[in-house]
Amino acid sequence: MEAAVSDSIPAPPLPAGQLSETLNAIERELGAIWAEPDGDTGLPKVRASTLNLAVVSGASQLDGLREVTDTLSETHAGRVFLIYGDGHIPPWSIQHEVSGVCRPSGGQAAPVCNDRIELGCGAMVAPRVPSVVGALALPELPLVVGVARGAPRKISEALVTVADRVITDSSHTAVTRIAELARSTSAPVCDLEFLRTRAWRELCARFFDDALSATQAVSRVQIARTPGGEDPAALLIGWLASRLGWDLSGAVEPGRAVRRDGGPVEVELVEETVPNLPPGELLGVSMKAELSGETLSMRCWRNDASSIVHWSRRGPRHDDHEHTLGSRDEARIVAKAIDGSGGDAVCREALLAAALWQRRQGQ
Amino acid sequence: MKRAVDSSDGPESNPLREGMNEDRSAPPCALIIFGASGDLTRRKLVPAVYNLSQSRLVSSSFAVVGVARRPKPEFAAEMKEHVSRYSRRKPVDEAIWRDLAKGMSYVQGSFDEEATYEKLREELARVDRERGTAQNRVFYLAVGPDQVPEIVRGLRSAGLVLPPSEEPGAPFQRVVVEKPFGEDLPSAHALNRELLSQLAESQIYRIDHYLGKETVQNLLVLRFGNTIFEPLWSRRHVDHVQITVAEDIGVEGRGKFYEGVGITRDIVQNHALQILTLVAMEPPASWDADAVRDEKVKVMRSLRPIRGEDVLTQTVRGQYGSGMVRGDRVPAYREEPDVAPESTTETYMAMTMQLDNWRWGGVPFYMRSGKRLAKRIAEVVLHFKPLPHRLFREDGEGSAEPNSLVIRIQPDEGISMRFGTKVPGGGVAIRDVAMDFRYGAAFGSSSPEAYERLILDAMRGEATLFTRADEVEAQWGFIDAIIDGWREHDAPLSVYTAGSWGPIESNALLDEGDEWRRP
Repeated sequence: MEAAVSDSIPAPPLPAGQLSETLNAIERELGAIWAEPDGDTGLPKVRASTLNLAVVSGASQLDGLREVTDTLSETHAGRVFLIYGDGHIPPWSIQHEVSGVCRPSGGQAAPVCNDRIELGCGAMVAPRVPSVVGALALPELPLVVGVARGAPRKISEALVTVADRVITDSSHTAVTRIAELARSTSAPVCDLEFLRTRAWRELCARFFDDALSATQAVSRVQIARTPGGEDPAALLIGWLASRLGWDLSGAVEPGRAVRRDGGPVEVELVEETVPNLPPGELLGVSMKAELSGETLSMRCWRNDASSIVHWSRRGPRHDDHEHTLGSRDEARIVAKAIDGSGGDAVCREALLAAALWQRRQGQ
Repeated sequence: MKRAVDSSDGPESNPLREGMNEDRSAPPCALIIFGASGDLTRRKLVPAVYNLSQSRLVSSSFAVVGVARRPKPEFAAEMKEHVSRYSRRKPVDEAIWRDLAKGMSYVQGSFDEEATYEKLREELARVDRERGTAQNRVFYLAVGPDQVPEIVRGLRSAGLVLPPSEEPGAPFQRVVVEKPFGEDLPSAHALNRELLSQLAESQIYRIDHYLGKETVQNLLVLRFGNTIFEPLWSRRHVDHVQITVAEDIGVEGRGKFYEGVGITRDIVQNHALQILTLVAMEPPASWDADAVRDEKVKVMRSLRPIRGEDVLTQTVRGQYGSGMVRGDRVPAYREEPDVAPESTTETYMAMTMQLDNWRWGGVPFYMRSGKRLAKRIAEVVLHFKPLPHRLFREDGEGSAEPNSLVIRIQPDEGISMRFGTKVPGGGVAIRDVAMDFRYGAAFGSSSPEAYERLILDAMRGEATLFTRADEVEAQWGFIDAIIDGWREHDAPLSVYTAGSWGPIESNALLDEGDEWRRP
């Protein structure tokens, strides 16, 4: 998943001041953008700043990321850094492109602008990226670091250590990798796939809303997914385990977890191909709990590529409902990840537990 | 809701819901709108529900049931047209609408007939089964105030509202009541008494949609979420406060309604006084609804009454004459349709108020509200005291304006601070500049509408932004004294030119040296 930026070829050391010159050039270009009035209205540009957002990715992701961050700037304006690795760039160099993204603010008022700095990095500059970003970041605003598809490993690792908040995506980055990043920083980590699957988690939670004791009595979990891609089940299992206090450690057999009371939880993972659904999609969750001689079960399943899931509960209560999983555009998901609080600890624990689970399954 | 299994050793809350609070979404719930064929439903309520759905703030177990007299066989389709027209987000997302429409239904009937509530009960039982709304209900009464008591009685008789249960997870029923909440203190008190005979106070949500505005809420965040402002927020540093709620529109064809109301009952009694309480209140001990509302009620209780002859010197009432607003010629109020040619209804009201408490003793609060003024604006301005010693004014140059903090509630929501800076160059010339925060610039132009926040809060059971019984009655008590005083002392009605900032008589309300701001 990481971009193939070779670090096996020794390169001459960086000449003193080279990156400083790059920084100076970036600062001059930024100054020029802000000094010029808006071309349409002739009014000085207005800056809106609520954060610094640094997204690390592979070079192929840039077009998509430009679109997402432009949309994001409408509600979370600030300075955006798009940082990528490129094997064609000399190892000690950073290539840059600076632009101002403006949107009209209505009537004759000056447009509201924020700037975007794209940094293409050579193979050896990873340790210096935090310093470069730190020098260019807007003062007194948090630095949010996003690890996108194809993010060069060393750049991500370097940047998360200076981040105020880290955003990952386990739909393309292995949870084991994300767990490593999470352990290397004290910043909160929010995973986009964790947010995308909120509806699944909510539907699981409601099974227990009027049967709280059953949370301590789950005996079986079955999770279905489409084949390929990163395993979405790991995150869901990690979430269940961390919330319900299950033991996923090496002492337990693969395919099993252990409840707080020592009882076993059988975990079954199923793969099904569904036409028009991409790889690595959740298809369904079912759970069973045994309590005081009664069996309670829940099943939440989608049968096709539509976003409708059928939720049913059996036991003392029988319920059947249909729900829509819904969809959100990526900018909104990222916005929620930036804003998220209160769920950070839950997400982090779920990611760490998911990584433990995945390592035990030998994946 | 019967628990499936009962165990005394179980957890007290669902551990799987931990961390989901960040979404602050509503629980499974049915929203029942009485008056579903009315203007408010079309223009505000259903578009708000749509936007909440789009923001994924409503549960997937959500339903809307409209109730009104007229038949509406295509209720959902009709609502989609209104959403297309009035939603702040366009075009309508088809997938989201499809899901929302599945949970939309309609019950036709008169509010004074038992059969209507029986039909509603059957429909809600169906909705519970098919949509999983778990017997949670929010009844939104988008109807005239005279219909509120009979609807609440009907709901109670049909068992559709029950006394609230303390048991965790028990179904809830709440009733949202629109303004006007009464037309004076006796009627407000009677309405409260009637409602409280059928419901608990905790089930009654009295709406003032100004409280749902982001910028009104931001007033509290500004004051209590920052350390720098509160030390300045008192008589020590504030010279006077101006509150303006101005409209550039006229009565817009609602002359018949307006004749019996006037600006004082329509705007001042609720929106303007709400803003006053938020500006003047003490910090609450918590964000709990009652903690906040207790402090707001204390402001109303410390407001020195304006009664008797005092109305002649502390208030001005006005009515717009013809004039020009935003480049268009507009008629006088008395020339509007359904307005009596000799009408004495006020379309403008200004007053100077005093708060008898430690924080604000001696600080005048000037308030004005009117129709057909120069522009549409709602703002609060804290004018700070002048410098005790003018270090930089020896040569008479530079601005003499003290600092001011402007909180713009609408439009162009934001906050600006005016302060003096040195003009670059030789000498010390001072010029005033504004440090400006605009909501739209920092957070994008599509902030949630007030009704979105309020409907969501009603579903969540958060009453902080709704008015309590004692608060409403305190507001009416203050206003009734003024209106009685006008009547007893034949207070003059000053005509002002449409497009101006109101009658010049309002200048006399201000202390010497103070001036009405030109927003």
